[in-house]
Amino acid sequence: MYILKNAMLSIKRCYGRSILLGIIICIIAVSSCISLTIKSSSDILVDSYIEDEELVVSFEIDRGKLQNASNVDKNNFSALDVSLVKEIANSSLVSDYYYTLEVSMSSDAIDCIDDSFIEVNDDDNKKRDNNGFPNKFSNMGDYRFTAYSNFSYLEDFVNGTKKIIEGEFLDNDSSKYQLIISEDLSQKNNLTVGDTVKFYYPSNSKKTYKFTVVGIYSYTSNNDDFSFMPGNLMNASNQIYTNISSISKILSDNPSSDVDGFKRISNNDGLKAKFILSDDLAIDQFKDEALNKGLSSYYSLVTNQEEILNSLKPIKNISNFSLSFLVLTLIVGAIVIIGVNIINIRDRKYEIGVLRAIGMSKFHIILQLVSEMFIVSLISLVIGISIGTLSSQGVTNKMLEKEISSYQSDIQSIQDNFGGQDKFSFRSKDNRNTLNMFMNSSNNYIDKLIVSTDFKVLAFVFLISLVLTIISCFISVSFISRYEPNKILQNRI
Amino acid sequence: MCILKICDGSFSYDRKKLILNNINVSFKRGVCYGIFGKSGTGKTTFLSLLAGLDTLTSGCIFYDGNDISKMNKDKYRSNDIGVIFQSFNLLPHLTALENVLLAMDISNNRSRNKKQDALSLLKKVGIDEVKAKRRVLHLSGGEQQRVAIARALSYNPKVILADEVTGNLDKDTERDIVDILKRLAHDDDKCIIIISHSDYVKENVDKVLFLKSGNLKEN
Repeated sequence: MYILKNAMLSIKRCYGRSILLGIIICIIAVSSCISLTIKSSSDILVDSYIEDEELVVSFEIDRGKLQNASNVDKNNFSALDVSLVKEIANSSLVSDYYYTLEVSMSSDAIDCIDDSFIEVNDDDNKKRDNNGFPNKFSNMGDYRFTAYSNFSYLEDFVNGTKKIIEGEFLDNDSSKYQLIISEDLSQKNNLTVGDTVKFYYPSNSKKTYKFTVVGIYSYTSNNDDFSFMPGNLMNASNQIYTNISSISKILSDNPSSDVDGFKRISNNDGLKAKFILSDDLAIDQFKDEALNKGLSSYYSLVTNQEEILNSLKPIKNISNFSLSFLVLTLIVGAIVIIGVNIINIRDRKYEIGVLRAIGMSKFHIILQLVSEMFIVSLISLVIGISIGTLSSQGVTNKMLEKEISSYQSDIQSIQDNFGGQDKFSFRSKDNRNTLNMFMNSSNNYIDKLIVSTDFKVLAFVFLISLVLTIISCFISVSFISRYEPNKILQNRI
Repeated sequence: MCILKICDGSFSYDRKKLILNNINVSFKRGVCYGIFGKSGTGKTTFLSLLAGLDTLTSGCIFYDGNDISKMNKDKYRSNDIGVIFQSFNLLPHLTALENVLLAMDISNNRSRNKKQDALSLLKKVGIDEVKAKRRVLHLSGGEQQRVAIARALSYNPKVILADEVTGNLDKDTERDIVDILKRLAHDDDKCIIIISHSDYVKENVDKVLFLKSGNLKEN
C-alpha cells in the first residue's frame, strides 16, 4: 500500500517528468486511437460494402473476337435471348436476375426534345461514319424505349433521381402498349396521362404502335450512360419506359438488318441481362454453367467487381495509411518512451540509492516505478482515447476529402491532356444533362466514412499502452538491478 | 551486551591493497563509540560494511549473534540498523514527515499512529510540526541532519551508525546532535557508532577507536 502511496506522491511532486511522460503516452494514445478507429471502421465498411453490394454479372459480346471469327462461325453465332437468360438464371448460383430490352423508336405524332450536338442532315453521313464504315446509328429513332423485367432494379426510380409526378407506374404483367414519359416531353407535346401516341420502328414507318401514356416522371439529374448514343436519343428527356411485352412485340415484328459489315447479331442486341450471384467466388462456375446451357463462347463475362473495388479505393487508401501511421507511431513512440525512461531512471538514481540504503528491496522499488508508469499511462490513456475518439471523425473527413480530391485531380489531369472536359462531354441545348465519360470514375467513390471507437479499438489501444509500459518497466528493472546503493551514494558524494 | 561484532574482517576494493586488515572488534548496546582517523583510512567503508551496504572480502560481521552475510540485507537495513549519512540522503521531493513515514513503512512498522509517532520523533530531535511538513530541501543543513536522525530512529533499530554527521554543521548544532546521539545510547540502550574528525565528538563519546593502516585500535 505504501508503494502506491509513494508512487502517487512521486508523480505529484515530480510533475515535470510525469507530464512529459504523460504527453508522450497521450500522443501515442491519440495517434493509435485515431489510426485504429479509422482502420477498423474503414475495414468494416469495406467488408460490409463488398458483402452488401451485390455481385452483378452480365454477358457482353466480344465484338473483336467475333469480327475475327470465320464467316461460318459468324453465321452460326447464337445471341443471348430472353429464354436463354431465363435458363441461365435458373441456377443455384443466381440469387436474382433481371433483363432490360431497349429499342429506339420514332414518332410523327409528337416532337422530341431536340439535341443540337449531332446534326445528321446529310444522307451519306447517315449511312457512313468518318472511317467510311456504315453508320450504325442511321436507323436510330428519336426515342429510347426501355423495359425492365423487374422494375425494382430501375435505379433512378429507386434512388429518387426520377419520380412519377402524374399517373402511375407501368404494369409489367399487362400486354397493353403502355409507357411513361418525361415531364419535358409531356410539356412540349401537351401530353397528359391517358393520351395515346403512335410510334414506329425507324426502319419500318408503315407499322405503327399505339401507346397509352400511363405516367409522367420528373428527374433531377441523369446518370444513364448515353455517352455514345447519337442525336436526340442521347437526350435524357427522350427516355421512355415501357413494359417488356411491348418491346418484345416490336422486336419480333422488325427483323434484323445488315449493319456493321456483317449480319446484325439478332433482334436481341437490345437485350441486357444482369445476374446477381449468391456467391462472390462462383463467377467461373457460373460462366461454365452458362456456356453449358448454350451461351455462345463469343460472350465475355463482365462483373461490377472492379467498380466496387474502385469505389472503395479512397477508403482502402486511408485504411492502409492509418495502418502505416500506427506502425510508425508505435516504433517512434516506443523509442521515445525507452529514451525518456532511461533518462528518468538515471535522474532517479539517487532516489533509488537512498531507498535501497534505508532497506527498500529492489522488487519494491521496481514495483513503485511500475506503479508510477501505470498510473501515468492510465491517466494519459483516458485523455488520449477521449481526444482520439472525438477527433477521429474530423481527421477521417479531412483525409477522405483529400484522398478523393487527389483522385479527381488525376482525372482532371487526364481530361486536360485531351484538351479539357468539354471534349468529353455531350451537352444538350438546355444544359440539363452533361454526360461526361469520366463521370462514373469520378463520382462513384464512397465519400463518407462514419468512424466509431469500438471496444476492439479500445482494447487494442490499451494493449499497445500495456506493451509500451511493460517495455519501459523492463528497462527500469534492468537498470535498477545493476544499481548498488553504496556505489550510487558514494558517486554522489 | 555485544550487539555487533567483526571477526577477522578484511576488505579491499581491488583485492590488492587492503583497506581493512583483519579487524576484530565488538560493539555493545548503551555505549556511544567514536571512530576517528585520517581521511582515506577507510572509516566510511567500515561503516558501509557494518550497514550491510558492502561485503567483507574475508571475515564475518555478526549482528546479535547472526552472520549478516546470511541475513536478508534489506530487512537488516530497514529494521535492525539505522544509518545517518554525512550528506543526509533524504528524499528531496518528500517532506520531513514523509521521509520518516517512508522509513517506517519500509520497515513494516504496524503502528496505528505512525504519523503521531513520526511527529513525536521529529519533535524529539528538534523539528516541530510546521517544519516537519516542509519539504526537506526547504530545511537547513542542521535540520536535515535532525530529520535523518529521526528517520534512522523511526523503526527503533538497536544500532545507529552515524557517518560524519556533524561535518557540515556549526558548533551549537554539532553539540545538539551529539547530545541527541548520546542520549539515545544511554537512555534508550542503543549502540551508537559515530565516524568523525571532530574534537568535540572525540571528547564526548564513551569510547574512542582509531582506524590506521587498516587496523582499528582503541585509544
